[in-house]
Amino acid sequence: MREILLVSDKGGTGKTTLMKMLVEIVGGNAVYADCTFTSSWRHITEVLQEDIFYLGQEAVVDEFACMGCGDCEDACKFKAIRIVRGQAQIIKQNCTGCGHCLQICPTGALSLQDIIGGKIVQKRSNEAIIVYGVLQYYPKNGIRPVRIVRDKAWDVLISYQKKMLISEAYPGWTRLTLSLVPFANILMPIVEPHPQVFEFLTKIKEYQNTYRCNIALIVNKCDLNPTVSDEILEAYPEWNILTIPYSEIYMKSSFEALKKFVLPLIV
Amino acid sequence: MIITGIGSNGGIGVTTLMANLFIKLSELGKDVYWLSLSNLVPPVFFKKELAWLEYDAVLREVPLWTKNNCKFCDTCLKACNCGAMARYGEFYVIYSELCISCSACVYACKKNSIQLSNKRIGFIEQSNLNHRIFRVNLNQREIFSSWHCQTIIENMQKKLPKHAVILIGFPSGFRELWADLIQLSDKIIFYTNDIYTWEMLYKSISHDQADMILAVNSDYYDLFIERGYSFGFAIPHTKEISIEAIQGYAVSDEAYQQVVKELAYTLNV
Repeated sequence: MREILLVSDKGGTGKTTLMKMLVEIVGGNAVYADCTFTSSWRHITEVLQEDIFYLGQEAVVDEFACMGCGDCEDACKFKAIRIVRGQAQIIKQNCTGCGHCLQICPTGALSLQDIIGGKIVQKRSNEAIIVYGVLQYYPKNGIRPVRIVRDKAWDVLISYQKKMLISEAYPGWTRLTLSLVPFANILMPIVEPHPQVFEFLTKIKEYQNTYRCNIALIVNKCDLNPTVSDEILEAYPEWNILTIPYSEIYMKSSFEALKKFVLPLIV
Repeated sequence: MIITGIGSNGGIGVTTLMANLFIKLSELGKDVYWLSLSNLVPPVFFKKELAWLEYDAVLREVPLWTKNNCKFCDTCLKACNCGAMARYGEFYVIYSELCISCSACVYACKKNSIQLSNKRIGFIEQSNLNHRIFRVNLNQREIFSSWHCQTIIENMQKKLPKHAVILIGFPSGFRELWADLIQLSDKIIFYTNDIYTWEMLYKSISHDQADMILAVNSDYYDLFIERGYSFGFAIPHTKEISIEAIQGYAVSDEAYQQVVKELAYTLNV
């Protein structure tokens, strides 16, 4: 079983569009995991399953025990507690569930509770199974929902006995993306030829050395800045590189080229 | 004053809009500064001869494990919420790129063998061509997390003059920063094509925190008017604009400049 991970250095280089193309090209051989919590798969109607997932823990106030002393407000590093009318109040988005306030509280009014973060949806379109998450709010510790969706997709992969997992990470080389990188056999970066792209590519090169994954680079909108796209081709001769020109209908026009590029990776 | 541009999806042009707003505001003679929360700056500010000068260090509290009293009870491992700790035999490793400095492990440890320590993880850098442009450049293994955002912005506010206007650009991937940035900034330009995300955000924030300004791609503008959000700005989007943006020129399109001008006056800085 293999795993392909789509990454990019900045937003809007065409990851989601590429994902939709891959659904058409690879079809039923793979499971597709969208770890970005966008609404790009809402149009598919055939729902297989929906599961609620929990986002770690969160502090809860016992109204009768709280005396509003404000110790927890001062102690919280993330400004997740404020005192309103003599009562401690938790701001959901900021709480990381570290449990520091529990130890500070003199009356024991605070406790930790599991919280519902959202749901994971499995959908089917023409035998391809798509797994994505819907969040109720954007939590501070964003790394957790990303991993939950990816792990769920891996379970689905095993239960349906598919060959590979194709997952999509958040744009940028942040913690959210990095938590997915170690699992990938093939890393598929999509970049635009803007002048600062080489900083990103050197980081990719470094990670290739540590995690020993294969690289399949796609340069999207290559004709917008031809000088930089040529420099990329010269700088990394050992990688598989595909260049795609800009078009209004996105990548539809270069469907055949993409098919030739992707299919050898799958066997 | 802090003005932040947030895009619901990547690549719809929020950085281009903010960069052009920066140029327009400096033409109008305002005291504007640019701060990128990553090492990427818009191509307009990027030239071949550009070099970065050190401006300020970025410090961060990271837990540090010592063997002294440790009984290897694994309480800290269970306490960690984000998978930043691992045990290799008689050895604990803390991956600082995954850590959010919540210090859960410090409070969990009863033997005091984990302590917080300050670590320099990178620099705020200044462009040598335009001293009003800054970026945050972190060391190779460090990853930008929401924890730094607040300290960086507060430090910059102290160092810069009082009436300075700071424009903040950040990649759309840092979605966990939204809560922080909405709290810290005075005005927010939210650029979106997706009415679903906009409604979720618009309902969820409390409006004493920041002024929300809606910007919509002109193709989707009618859809927003139907739902009753007629106060948005319609931003034109064509191939010519993308070419100019990616090659590092200010957008010369007249309709685009008009919108940027209106936006600059609406901000009223």
